[in-house]
Amino acid sequence: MYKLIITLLCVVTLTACRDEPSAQSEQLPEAEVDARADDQSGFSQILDSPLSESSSVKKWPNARFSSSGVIPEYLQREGDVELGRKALLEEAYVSCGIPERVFRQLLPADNAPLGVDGRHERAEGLPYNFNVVTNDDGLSIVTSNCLTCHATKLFGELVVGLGNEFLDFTADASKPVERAGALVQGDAEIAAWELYADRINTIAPYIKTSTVGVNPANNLTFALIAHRRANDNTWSNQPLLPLPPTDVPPVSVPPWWRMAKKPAMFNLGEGRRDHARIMMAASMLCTDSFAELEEIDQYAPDIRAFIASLEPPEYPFPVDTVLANTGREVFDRTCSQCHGSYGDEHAYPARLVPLDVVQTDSTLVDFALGDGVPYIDWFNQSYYGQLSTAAPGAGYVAPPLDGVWATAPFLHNGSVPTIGMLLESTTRPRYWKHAVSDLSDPESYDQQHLGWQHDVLDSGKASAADVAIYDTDLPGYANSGHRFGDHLGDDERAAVIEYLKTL
Amino acid sequence: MTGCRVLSSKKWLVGVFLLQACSSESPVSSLSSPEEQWLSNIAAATDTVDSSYPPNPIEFSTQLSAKTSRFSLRGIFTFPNAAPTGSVDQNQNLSLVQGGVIASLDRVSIRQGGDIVEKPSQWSYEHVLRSSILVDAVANSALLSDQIVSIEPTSTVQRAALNLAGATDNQLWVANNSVSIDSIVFSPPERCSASYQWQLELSATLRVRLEFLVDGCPQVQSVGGYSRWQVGGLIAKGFLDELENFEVVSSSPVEAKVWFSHGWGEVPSVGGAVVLDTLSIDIGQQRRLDISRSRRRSGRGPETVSASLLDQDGMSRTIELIWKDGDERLAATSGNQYPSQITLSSAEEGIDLRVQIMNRAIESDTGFGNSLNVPVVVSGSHAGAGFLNYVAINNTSP
Repeated sequence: MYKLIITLLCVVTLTACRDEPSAQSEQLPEAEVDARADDQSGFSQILDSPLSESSSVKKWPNARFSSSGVIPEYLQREGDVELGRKALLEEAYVSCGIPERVFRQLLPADNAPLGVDGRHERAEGLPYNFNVVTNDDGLSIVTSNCLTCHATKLFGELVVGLGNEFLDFTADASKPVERAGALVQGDAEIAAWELYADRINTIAPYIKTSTVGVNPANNLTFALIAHRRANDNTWSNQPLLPLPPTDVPPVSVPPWWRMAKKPAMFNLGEGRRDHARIMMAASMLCTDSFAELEEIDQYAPDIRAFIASLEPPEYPFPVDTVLANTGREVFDRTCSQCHGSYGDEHAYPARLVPLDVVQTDSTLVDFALGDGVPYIDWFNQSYYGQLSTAAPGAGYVAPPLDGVWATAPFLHNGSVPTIGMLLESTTRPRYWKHAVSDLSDPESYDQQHLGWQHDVLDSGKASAADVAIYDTDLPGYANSGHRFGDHLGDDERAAVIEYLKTL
Repeated sequence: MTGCRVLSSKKWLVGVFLLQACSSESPVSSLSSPEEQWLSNIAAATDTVDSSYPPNPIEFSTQLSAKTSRFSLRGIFTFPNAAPTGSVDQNQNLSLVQGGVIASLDRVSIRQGGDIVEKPSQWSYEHVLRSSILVDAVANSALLSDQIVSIEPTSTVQRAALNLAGATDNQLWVANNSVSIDSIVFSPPERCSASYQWQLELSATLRVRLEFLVDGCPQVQSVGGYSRWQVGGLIAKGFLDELENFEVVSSSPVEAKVWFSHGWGEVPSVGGAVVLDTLSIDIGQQRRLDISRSRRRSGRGPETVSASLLDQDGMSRTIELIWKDGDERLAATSGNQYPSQITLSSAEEGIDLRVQIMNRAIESDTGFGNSLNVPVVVSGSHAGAGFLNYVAINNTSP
């Protein structure tokens, strides 16, 4: 039950944590939607080509969307890194949760959870991904924090910022929270629990994934938006917008340490301008007024600054530097125009690559620019939209690749287990599953192909009801596209892989 | 049934036990005390009867008096030395390989409160949370008896009734005619390996004795201060005894599969905002359904159902199940209302069960509020029997 409760509490911080914000340098006016991002200058010919009529991708009006091309940088509000870390691990940006007394009853007594250093004594004994705060009734409650999805125990060490690709959202999220209600006592505990349980029950159908490891962050955000009023942020038990599909599209959790480079937080190029304000969407579960949001906004820039300060973990295994140098040449020739260059004179172009070019799974794009439009409009009209902008484009942002060795599986939906497979599309498995349940064992890492050990399967979920199976036949789970490495020879591909170990 | 003989037929026992391969029965012991007999027979089963397993089928058709069932379980139950409270919470489902479930010990829960009590004989009535036995005929799955230790707040009398006052060290007799546990050891909980002896007196003339071994220490799972391990698919071997004047006149080897769990530590109080109903049902082919349902006391919010299906090897998997209370209500003497029938369904699993409550009179307060603790029989897609704990929401609030 402990794990279930953890998963449950975790989901509430997904909303703003589904991608990384960036620290940038240009101050934008608080203006409307971002047609200004349509700077395609410097884009290569292939990337600059507009969406063709023959493309399967629809053309959407530009008013609330971004077009492909380079995403401009924005000046972020300044923040204090240390205060940001403290706020991330101590503040009540998620303002509802389980009463602390009950939560501690659910912790294993003889197996201390993995904690995190440097936070207040109240949090002693709590897992790293939970904060203990005091609610308006004076009751101590435990809430989830962003590290639920954005930290992973890697080879025995907690790596803050590494997306957790092993979380399990396949179960009904309402069950463990409802059952925790059996342990609450007294009016204050019951009230605190009931608020949290009611909200979880509301979103539970929209965050249940079909596969372990993928993340429901997008759908969670949409479900919460559907129950909130944009003008005052108040909650409505009845949905005010159409609810998102219960067939949850999967999302991979990108690492936080790339935020210093990225001007747009999310996969589709949405999440522009003030990232601190966008991150505050993590409070969307239970923060029901502007006044509460204003309090969070006081320290949100600090949290953003802390996230932007993170560095990727170094590759812990041997690297063939000669081969890596060869790989760098291939990379700069083949990959860098989208993914940037690295080293002392690094550069990141922040390109939104059109869908008909990258040809990866279109589910997120189709929804965001189709049925998802009401959510985009809501965001831009809300408190969050005062300083930030949700403006998805008809494509996917090519991310920077710092620390890419640790971030398997790949593509926005986590459909490709290794970089080797990413660079040779014919080798991608149609059905597969992780061979390990966590990243504690270095032996579980595939040093040749850069990814976690996995099993390739002969059949998918149609023949086996196994939530561990990644079935690329499912909607949103396709491993298509990004075939840019197919033309490489085996030696070139091996060299690029060796070079990627050094980023 | 050539080669078999009738073991027992008494006026209050309308049953016939037909055994094949009767030559495999063990010699009748002439030892003086039942304890010595038991130990001797177990030793004999272990040492000399292995070659006879698996035994030949037993045809079992009987109805037994509910008043005469007696169960005992012997094994080592460990408690953390420093735990302010502790519990033995074990349940097992034991089926003869020859047929359906013959008996199931649903749960024995014992809580030690306050200061550490070194001797079980010092435990008082409030330490015993609940125990229950469900005895189920092999052939027709009819419910034969149930015994529930319903603890009443009359300490002195109850302690005497429980034989606590006279218990020796490491021995706890929970009820005057139902459950006994001994060898409760206060030692680190890592000590898991033990041999457990299981005995059920079905009647004055029929008894089942079995022994199984938990080898090694299964993985311990902890929630809060409570830890638990569980093993499945254990093979238990023993004897089906015919008795006359409490003496064994004939014994035949039997074999069973066992699921077994042991928990210890602090059991948190439950029932604040949500109550949990539990239902455990044997559905034949040595499979068991364990179901729990949450309901809010406020009446708001969803009901949630968690169900797991245990197969004959003790492997458990979660299934989706719909639990629906019937409209007809039973009124307990307290005024609490309970459904007389429940339906359970799972299209994916081919489960469509009607659960009929067998005894409407039994309502108890286990410390977590009033609840109906009753045996049930099931029909529909599967036939079987089980045990229901249905918590009353009206008139009870911890």
